[in-house]
Amino acid sequence: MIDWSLIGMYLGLAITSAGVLWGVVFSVEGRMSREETSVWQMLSVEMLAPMLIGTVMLVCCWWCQLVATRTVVLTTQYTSVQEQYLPELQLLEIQFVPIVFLIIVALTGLWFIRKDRKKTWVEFEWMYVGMLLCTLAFLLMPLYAWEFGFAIERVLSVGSIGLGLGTAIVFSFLFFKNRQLAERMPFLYEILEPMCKVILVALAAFMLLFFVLSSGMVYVYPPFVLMQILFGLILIVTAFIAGPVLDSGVHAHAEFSQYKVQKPEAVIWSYLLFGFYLSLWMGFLVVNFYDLSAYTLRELVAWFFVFAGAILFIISFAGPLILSKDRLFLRRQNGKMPVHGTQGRN
Amino acid sequence: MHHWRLKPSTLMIFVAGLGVVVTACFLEAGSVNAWLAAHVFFVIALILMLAGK
Repeated sequence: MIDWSLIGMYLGLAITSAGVLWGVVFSVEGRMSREETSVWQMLSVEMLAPMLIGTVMLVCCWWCQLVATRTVVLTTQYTSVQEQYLPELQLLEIQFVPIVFLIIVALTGLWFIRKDRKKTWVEFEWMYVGMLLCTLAFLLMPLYAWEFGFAIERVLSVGSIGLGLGTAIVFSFLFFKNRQLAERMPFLYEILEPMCKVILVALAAFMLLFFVLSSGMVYVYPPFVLMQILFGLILIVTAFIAGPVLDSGVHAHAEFSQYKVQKPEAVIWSYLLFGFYLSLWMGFLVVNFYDLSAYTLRELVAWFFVFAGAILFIISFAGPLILSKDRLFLRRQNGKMPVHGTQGRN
Repeated sequence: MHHWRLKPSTLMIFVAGLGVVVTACFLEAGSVNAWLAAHVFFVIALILMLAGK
């Protein structure tokens, strides 16, 4: 229970922080573009969904974690168990402050957002900046609560995995949501390369942290080997996305007409690729924050493939729904119906 | 027919990832040096990618 709520908490933190970070980036891009209503502003408004989902997940899992840890500390009769969980409980109690600010900023931001789209995106930007500061405060709290050595380990590992995982989730969300709006796809391909760079920098930061902490001694045990296999697979898929996927996408949109969408087969391959990528990242998060030392490597690999299969199964349910919208979109084009413009479908 | 134009750094990251997976599978056989080399290769590739190569 405690491990799973901890994983949920970090997943929520990753989604919120990546959502607000890229929301700020898109808002700044939108402000710098000279058009009155640009696609960048639309993309920044779309970051509201990850921000809200992540915030709800973060607050709920933080509460579960607090209750579960407090129960363990108060009810156990073993001093060693109390000593093990006491720093975690202290940290969770101090994290109450950024959680309260996070809720206040989110609610205040939503309160001020009005229906007039032209005025609201600037308010989105301020809300994103406020949320980013709150999530940073939540992430940096171990530095206040714990000794520097333990705190920096937790901050850097959570920060690097959160940045990579959150960016992967945010991009997959944007990619799946905007597939049928072909005029937005060139913008998504434009941000794909910087996003891949951010993910790789986050992985490099995690790797360097690991090497610094291990201080030359590598203790090989099954979860560690699985973590390295997932690390390598993430590198392979990121290189694949930053190379052939990005290049073929840019080529397709440069060659074909502006509103032509990709073939359904290509869409299915994209779903499978991004679904597998998300399952790799989720597996990486679980391996790092869940105690799996009781399992053998073979069992762990088998569990991972069950886990990845479950995620792909869920995405394959969402995929046909969006694919049917793609077909609807093509039919509208053939029937000379008005296509989606920059007003979007929000 | 569209030909992919892969950047050298992207190809290097792909090779580094492959190296990490393969060496991780044989870590118990004592090939820690090769595993470390794969990580160093990844860092070099990343620096090249950030430099736009």
